[in-house]
Amino acid sequence: MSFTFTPERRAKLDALILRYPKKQAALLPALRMAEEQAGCVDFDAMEHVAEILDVSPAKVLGVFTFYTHYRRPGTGKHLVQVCATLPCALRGAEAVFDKFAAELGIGQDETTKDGMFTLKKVECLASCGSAVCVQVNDDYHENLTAETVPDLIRKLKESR
Amino acid sequence: MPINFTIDGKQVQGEKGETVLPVALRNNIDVPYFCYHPGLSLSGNCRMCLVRVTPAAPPPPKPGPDGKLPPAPPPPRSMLAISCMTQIADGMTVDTKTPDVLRAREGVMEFELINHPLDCPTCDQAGECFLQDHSYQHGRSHGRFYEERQMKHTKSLGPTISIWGSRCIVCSRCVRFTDEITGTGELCIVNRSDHSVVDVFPGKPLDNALSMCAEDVCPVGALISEDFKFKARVWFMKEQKTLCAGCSVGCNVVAEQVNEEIARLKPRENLAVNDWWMCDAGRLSYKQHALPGRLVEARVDGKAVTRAEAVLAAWQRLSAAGGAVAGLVSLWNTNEEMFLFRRLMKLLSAVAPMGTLEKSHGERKQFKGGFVIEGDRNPNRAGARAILGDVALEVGATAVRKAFEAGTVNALLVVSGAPELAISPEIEAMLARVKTLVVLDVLESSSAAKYAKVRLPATMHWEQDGTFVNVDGRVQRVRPVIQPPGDAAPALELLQEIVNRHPPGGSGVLSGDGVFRQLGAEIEAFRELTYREVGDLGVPARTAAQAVKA
Ligand code: SF4
Ligand code: SF4
Ligand code: FES
Ligand code: FES
Repeated sequence: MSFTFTPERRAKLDALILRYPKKQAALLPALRMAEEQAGCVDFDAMEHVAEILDVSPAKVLGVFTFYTHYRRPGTGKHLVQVCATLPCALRGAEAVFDKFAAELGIGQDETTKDGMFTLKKVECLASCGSAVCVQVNDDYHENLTAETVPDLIRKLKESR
Repeated sequence: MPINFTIDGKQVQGEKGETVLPVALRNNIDVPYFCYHPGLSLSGNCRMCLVRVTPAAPPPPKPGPDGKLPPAPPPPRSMLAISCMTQIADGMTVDTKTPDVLRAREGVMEFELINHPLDCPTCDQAGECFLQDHSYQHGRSHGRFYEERQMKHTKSLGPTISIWGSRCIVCSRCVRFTDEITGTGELCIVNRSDHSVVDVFPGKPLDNALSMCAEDVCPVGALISEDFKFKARVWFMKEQKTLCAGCSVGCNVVAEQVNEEIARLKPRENLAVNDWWMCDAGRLSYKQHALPGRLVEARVDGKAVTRAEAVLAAWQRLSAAGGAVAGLVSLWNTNEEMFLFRRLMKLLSAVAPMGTLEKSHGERKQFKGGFVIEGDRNPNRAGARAILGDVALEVGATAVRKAFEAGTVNALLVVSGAPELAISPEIEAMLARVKTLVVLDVLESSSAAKYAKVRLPATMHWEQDGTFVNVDGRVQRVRPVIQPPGDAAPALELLQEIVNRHPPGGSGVLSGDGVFRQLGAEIEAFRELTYREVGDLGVPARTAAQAVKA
C-alpha cells in the first residue's frame, strides 16, 4: 500500500529539487515521477511527496486535482481520450466517442469492469490537421471515424 | 511619507505599500469584496472589488537643450482594476461608482451565482452573507444561465466544521487561514474551474484549536459551524460586545443571545489583543451559562430567605467574628468586585488575610500567525495583582488556611464567579470546618456553596458589567449578555449591599462604572479611567504593563 520512491527516482528528484528556488516548486515533476513508478498517483504517493517537499498533503491534493493529466487510481490500462474540441467535432468526434462508449459499454469518465479501458473527453490535442484524434496513453491515433473504432479497440486488446 | 490620492473625488491618504481597498473601507467608501480579508494574504481571485483606476498624469514636458518642447506624453490610461491588489500611488484617481464599474460588478455577481443553489432559506449564513448583501446591492434580478448547475459535496471537514460545497465561491480565504494563521494546512481547493471546491486530504480532517474561525472567514454559507448549525436565524439574535474569559488573553467577542440563551460567540476585531481570531475552547465556553445546578435563591443555614435577609445575615455574622475574618476571591471576578471585596475585608478587619481562587493552568499554545492561547486559564490575574497585591495573589490562599489552622480566623468570605475552580483538599477541609462561611457563588456543586452558612447566588461574567485586565495589562470591558437566573445578582451589587450594612448604614448601590471610578481614585493602575474611556476595545492600564503582568 504505502508508497516510497525507489532510490534511483528519489536521487533524481533530490537533484531536481536543487534546480528550483524553493523545493515546493518541484511538486509537478515529483507527482509525474510518482505516476511513472506506480502507474497512477494515489493518496499514499501524495503524502510521500508532501513529506519530501515540506508542504501539507492537502496542498498536494489541491495541485494534483487541478490537473487532468495525472492518472488517478482506478484508471484503466488504456486511457482513451477522445478530443472533443471544434475541428475534431466537425469531423465526427461525437460519433467516435459514442462508438467507443457502445463498444466498451461505458460512459464518459468510466472504466470497464476488467480494468482495461477508461473513456474520457478532452480538449484539443493539437492534432487538428488529422482530426478526429484520440490519445490512448501516450500514443495518438489519427483520422479516426466511427467505423475504424472497433479495429482500434481490437488492436488495443491484443497489445499487452 | 503618506500617499495622497482621490477616491470618488474625496481626498484620501494611505501608507506606501497599501492597496486601494483598505484605504477605501477606512474612509467609509463602500467597495464590495469577497476574497479580501485584512488578516490574510492578498489573493485577488474574486474580482468583486473592481474599480476604475486612473494613474496620475505625467509631469509636463520640459524644453530640451534646443529650447523646443518635446511632444506631450499621452494622457494616462484609466482601467478597471481589482482594488484589493492595486497599490496606491500619489495623484491616482479611483472611481468606485461609475457605470462601467457597476456593470462589471453586476457581471461578477452573475458569475458567482451561476452554480449557486440559492438555498438561502435554509442556510445558516443567511442574514450575514456577503453573497446576499452584494447580490442585493450589486446584482441583477435575473440570471441568463440555462445549463445544468454543478453540484458539489456537502460533508463534514472535521469535528467542528462542515462544508456545503455548492455555496462555495472558491475565494480561498479558509485555505489561506489554515496556511497562514494556524499553520496547519488542512484545507485545499480540489479540482478546477466550475468543479473546484474546498476539501481536506482523506484521513486528515480540519482539526486544530482555532478551527472554528474558518467559519468566520468564509464570506458565504459554505463553511458551517457544527455548533451553530440550524440553531437560530441570525436576525433574531441580540448582540453584545464582551470578552471571552477562557484565558488571560481576553479575546474580544460578540456574544449573541435568543430568549436569554447564548447561541454563539464570534471573535471581534481587536488588533491589540486577538486580531480577528479566537480559540475553539473559548468560543464554546458560552455553554457554561447553561450549566445545570445554578444557584438561584439565597439561603441562610440551609433555609431559603430573601436577598435582603441573606445580605443582613452576611454582614451580621462576618462582623460578629470580631475581626477574625479572612476572604477568598476568584480570578474570574471583575476588578470592580475585587475592589469591593477588598473594601469589605478592610471594614471587617485591618489585618484580614486575603487570597485568591483560580482554575488550573493549561497548555500555552502559539500559532504560525502569532495568535496565542495563554496557559493561565483565568481572565483577571493581572487585575487581582493590581488591586489585591502580589502577596494576596501568590501566598494569600495559604495564608488564609494557616490563619484558620492557627485559630486566628473563624469566619470566611468567599466570592466566586466561575464554575470549575481548582480547590485543594486543604482549602476544601477548611471550608467544611470554618464556623462562619459566607459565600457568593454560581453553582450548587461548588465546594464553597456546599458548606456555606450564608449563601448568595451570584452571576457569571455573561450576566454582568465589569472589567478584566488581560495578560498584557490591558483593561477591557465585560458586559451583560443575558439576565441572571432566579434571584442571582452580580457580586458587584451584593458586595455593596453588604458594605451598606456597616454603621451608620447606607443604601446606595453604584453601577459598574461608578465603582470603577472609585477604583480609579484609589488604585494607580486604573487612575481616572471610566467605562467610556475603556470603550469597546479596552485601554492599557496606567501603570506599566510590567507592574500588572501576570
Ligand atoms: S469555503 Fe468559504 S472561505 Fe473557503 S473558499 Fe469556499 S467560499 Fe471561500
Ligand atoms: S485564547 Fe483565551 S481568551 Fe481567547 S478565545 Fe481562547 S480561551 Fe478565550
Ligand atoms: S480539435 Fe481535436 S486535435 Fe485539435
Ligand atoms: S476582493 Fe479583490 S479580487 Fe477578491
